[in-house]
Amino acid sequence: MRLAVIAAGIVILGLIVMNPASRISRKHSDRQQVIFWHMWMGEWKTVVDRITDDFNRGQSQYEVMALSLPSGADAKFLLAVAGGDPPDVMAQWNSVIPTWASRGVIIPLDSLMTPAELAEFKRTCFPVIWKIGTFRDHFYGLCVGLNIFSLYYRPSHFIEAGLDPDKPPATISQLDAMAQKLTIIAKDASIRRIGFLPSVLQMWAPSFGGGFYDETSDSLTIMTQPNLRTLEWIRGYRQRYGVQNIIRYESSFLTGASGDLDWPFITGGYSIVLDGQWRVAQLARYAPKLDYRTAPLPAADEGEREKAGFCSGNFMIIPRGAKCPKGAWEFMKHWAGVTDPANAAKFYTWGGWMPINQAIVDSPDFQQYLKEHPQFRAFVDTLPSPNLQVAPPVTYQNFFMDRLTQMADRVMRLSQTPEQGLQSFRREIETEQKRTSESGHE
Amino acid sequence: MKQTADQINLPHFRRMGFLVWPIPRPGIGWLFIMPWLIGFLLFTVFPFIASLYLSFCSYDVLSAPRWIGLANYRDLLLNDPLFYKALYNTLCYAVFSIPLGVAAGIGLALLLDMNLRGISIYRTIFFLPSIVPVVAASMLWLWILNPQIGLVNGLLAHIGIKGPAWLGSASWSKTSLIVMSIWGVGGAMIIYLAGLKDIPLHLYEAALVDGANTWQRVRHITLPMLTPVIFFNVVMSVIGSFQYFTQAYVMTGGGPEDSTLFYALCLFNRAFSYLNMGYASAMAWILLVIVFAATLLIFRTHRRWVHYE
Repeated sequence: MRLAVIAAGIVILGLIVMNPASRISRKHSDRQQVIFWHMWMGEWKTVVDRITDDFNRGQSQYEVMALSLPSGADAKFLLAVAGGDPPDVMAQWNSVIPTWASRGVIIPLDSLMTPAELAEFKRTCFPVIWKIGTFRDHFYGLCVGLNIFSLYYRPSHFIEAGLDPDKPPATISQLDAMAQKLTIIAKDASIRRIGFLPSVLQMWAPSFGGGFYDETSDSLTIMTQPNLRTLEWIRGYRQRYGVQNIIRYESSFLTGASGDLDWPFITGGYSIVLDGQWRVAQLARYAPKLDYRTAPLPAADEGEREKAGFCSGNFMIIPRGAKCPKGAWEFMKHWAGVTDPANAAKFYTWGGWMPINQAIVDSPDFQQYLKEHPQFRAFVDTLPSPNLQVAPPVTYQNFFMDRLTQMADRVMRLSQTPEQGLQSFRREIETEQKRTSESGHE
Repeated sequence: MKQTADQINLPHFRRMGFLVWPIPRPGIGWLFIMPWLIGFLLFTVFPFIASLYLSFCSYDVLSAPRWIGLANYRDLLLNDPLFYKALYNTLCYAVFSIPLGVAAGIGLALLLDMNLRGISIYRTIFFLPSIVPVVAASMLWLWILNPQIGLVNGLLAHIGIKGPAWLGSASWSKTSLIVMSIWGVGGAMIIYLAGLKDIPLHLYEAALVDGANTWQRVRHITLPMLTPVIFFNVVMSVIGSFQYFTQAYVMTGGGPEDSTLFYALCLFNRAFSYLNMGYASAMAWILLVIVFAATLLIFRTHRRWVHYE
């Protein structure tokens, strides 16, 4: 008997300790609970909590309980779904939509919208927001933090090199000419400053009219002339400056050693760099006196694709088995600004995030933010562009992106020609595609 | 008189308030080893058997495993150049790092076996790097091998040599990791040192009487008498080399140009980045066969070169 009492005590204690919901204090127990998992920490967590509070204040039906999962969130999420006790909504920033959607781990958000609501959402959101959240014609992830890339440049370097800082490069050939003028090479052929150095293939391929996925035919596009031209262009810079010289020069920057303070652009290691919108907020904090400007990606002379590029992002998903999907969807709409763009604008300014539609951009709060951070405009101007691309919606997306990076690396190190690189990449992907479809996961 | 286990007065213990189960005597032993046994069955035996089953399945954690027969093995052996690249990288690392580790370990042990003042301090100094956590040591080596501001290239520059890009160069990256492996030789060194201490002194005395010089004593007494320890260390190093992972994961991520994509790293990517658990399980079983074969080969040859007193 005594043993049974002790065992029961242990079980009850275990349940109290193990049950995560018990650790979130509820303010409105009369409302339906919406459990929200996210991966933000520190100052970002504060922003998330503020947004959650804003939603809860205006609600009578739902109460969102935000829970930060700093590590292993993906594994916990998958286990929670498999165990039948998932959260109602999760913020995710890894490229999981094709993999999770094809396995039925997440539910299509369009199943929560009326046809009219869906049509209105599609009409108002920027094309890239739809693209990044879609898999096989269904919308699975609402992107509340799109990562968009533009050029950052140093006006002082421009003046020094006899260039006009008011005229950033509009075409790739202009960019090449500027890069050459801005680069400083010492007498011993070592690099003293890099004007500009293209690196990430998928970022630049859209500007040349290329890319790795064709939406109209729903097929991968690997061995194409624009992709070849992009690789040749990227490789050309390595041939000009010397691969070893570039490796040595770049290794002298201790990136990562002290967080964001050591971005080589701040120290003047580069005159023009391609980077994401989050750098604007970082520079405002860590290098407030730094004189810099931003400009959208230039178009290739023959590619005719302006404001192109490659995007990733943070998006909200609803898992299969969520107890309150409707409440989750209401919360997502509130945060993203689907229902009230003017109110949501302030969330975007708190986080320095990219809005999902033009109404948010035009709202007074966001316009004020743009006035305070004029460098943010290049990114916002790029947002409506139909030329922005996202990772191909294939179920082996991580493999695809990893091997793409490795192939580009081989070409950049001159170990392979662009043709050889793209051919070997195509073979790898074809094998993987065959393997995936044979195993029944495509 | 000693009280034996059978004489323990159970009712007496009950009266004292202890919970005493009416378990027959052999059962108590099982009860005590049960925590370990349950852990062993659940976390070692079950995954071991499950991984064999999963290697014949397509399994991505998210959905139930699907039996696909030998497809994973066929794809690995016939259609996966990365598998062979990873195998080649691992074999390369093993072939160079194991002999180098043995030579460095024995060399250090011989030096630290001398009767010098403060020898224990030297032993501690040489042993210390092997207790530095691998990740911390890897970060340190990233700095040491930095092509521009690193210690190694700085020293080479002093003697007029322009050092390579080390981890940044596909042709030097494996060499860098092999050289780096000597850093952790302290563990093996201690075992060699213990082996040296175990060699009977009378053998050296007899050799001295016969007029053997230092080299002859090392060659004909020390090394043969040390072969059981060398044998043990070689077997452990072969197993360790095939599981080489952390340094490559932390320092290079498999690059540049897949030159440091070792077998365990390739397996990890397949399992946890691409969620191809079935495929990764097949890789793990192939690894087991390779390691088993390599170990068996060493065991088969050991009669020819391992001397027992």
